[in-house]
Amino acid sequence: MRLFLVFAVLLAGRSLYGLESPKMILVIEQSGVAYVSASELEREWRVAVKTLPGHDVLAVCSGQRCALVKDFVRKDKEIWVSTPALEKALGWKSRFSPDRSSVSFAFESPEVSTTDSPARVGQLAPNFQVARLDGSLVSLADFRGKRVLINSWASW
Amino acid sequence: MLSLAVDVQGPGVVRPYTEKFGVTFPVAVDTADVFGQAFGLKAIPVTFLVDEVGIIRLQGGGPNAALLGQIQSVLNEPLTATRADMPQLANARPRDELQQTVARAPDDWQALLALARLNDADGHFAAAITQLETAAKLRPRESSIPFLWGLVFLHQNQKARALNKLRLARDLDPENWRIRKQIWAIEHPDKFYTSDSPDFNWQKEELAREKGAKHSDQAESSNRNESKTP
Repeated sequence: MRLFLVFAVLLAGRSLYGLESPKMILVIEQSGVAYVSASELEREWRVAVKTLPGHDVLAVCSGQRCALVKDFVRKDKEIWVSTPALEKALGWKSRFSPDRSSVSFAFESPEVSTTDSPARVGQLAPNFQVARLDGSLVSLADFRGKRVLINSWASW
Repeated sequence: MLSLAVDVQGPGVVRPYTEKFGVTFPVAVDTADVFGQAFGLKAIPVTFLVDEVGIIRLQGGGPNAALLGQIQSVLNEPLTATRADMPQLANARPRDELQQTVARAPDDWQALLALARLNDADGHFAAAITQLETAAKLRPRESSIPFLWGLVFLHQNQKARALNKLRLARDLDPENWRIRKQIWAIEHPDKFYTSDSPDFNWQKEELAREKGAKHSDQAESSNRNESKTP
């Protein structure tokens, strides 16, 4: 029976996420809630988990989707995010191992979206392009992979 | 760092300012209000910190000790390898995509606004205004439409028409200091550019005048309404 369950879980993972085997990451439980580590999320699932200075929330981002998450704990110098919070933030479904010691995720690939709503802390910055005084163009995407401080001012 | 001047009057007013203060780092100018719209700018100075993933981590006003401390704590973090996909601004869609959108969905005012912005940037002012007219009919209370319309007039040196539209934008979005200050700077350059710093006392008086005018308008219209009721 257990073998059948494992096989079924693996099959379900494969059908939703293509032909790759699902990347299982470690689960810890606290008060009956499952948590996964930010560093494994980043390494195995390309999820960025970032603290927001001055706020007690995390920004959790994958692809183009970002959401703020409050259900997290700090343990062993690591941040652990609850799986229910992760599911809600990214629209993912958790696929636990039978003994709930590890988990992988299933999701549909989101479409590339355009945005009209103003950018906010905890969200992804939209790309934009402006001209420098010397006429050359600069876009936010030019700074990809670097941290950029945008200082906006005016002559008035 | 990206130092961004949001003067819609363009490099002409920004350059003397940077020269006056001996600025050596590169400065960009948001003449078409792209950043302003994308980041919902209502007042300046404003500081954003975007990290290596692409997430906006901080938003603040001008630099102060607390903000600098927060910036430093983000900079102290180890870099992560993950990169998010940058959302594309609706107003950064390519022209043919926008034209198809508008043809398919004539009530998509945001696509119209984006197309008008492109036409303005290319100097196709008549086309931009046609699009803005349609967008304004669809969304008469959306301030970004008259704001862009004002810029289109400004880019054609039609100052009086520009100011009319900018004032409409300001009245639709009275908390937007960017629009208000931009109007003042165009109307009264002497209060902004001739001395060492802008005349803040004058600005306070102007704001009081604006509010006074609004109250008397409201009183007048409520008097009219009262006299209409049987």
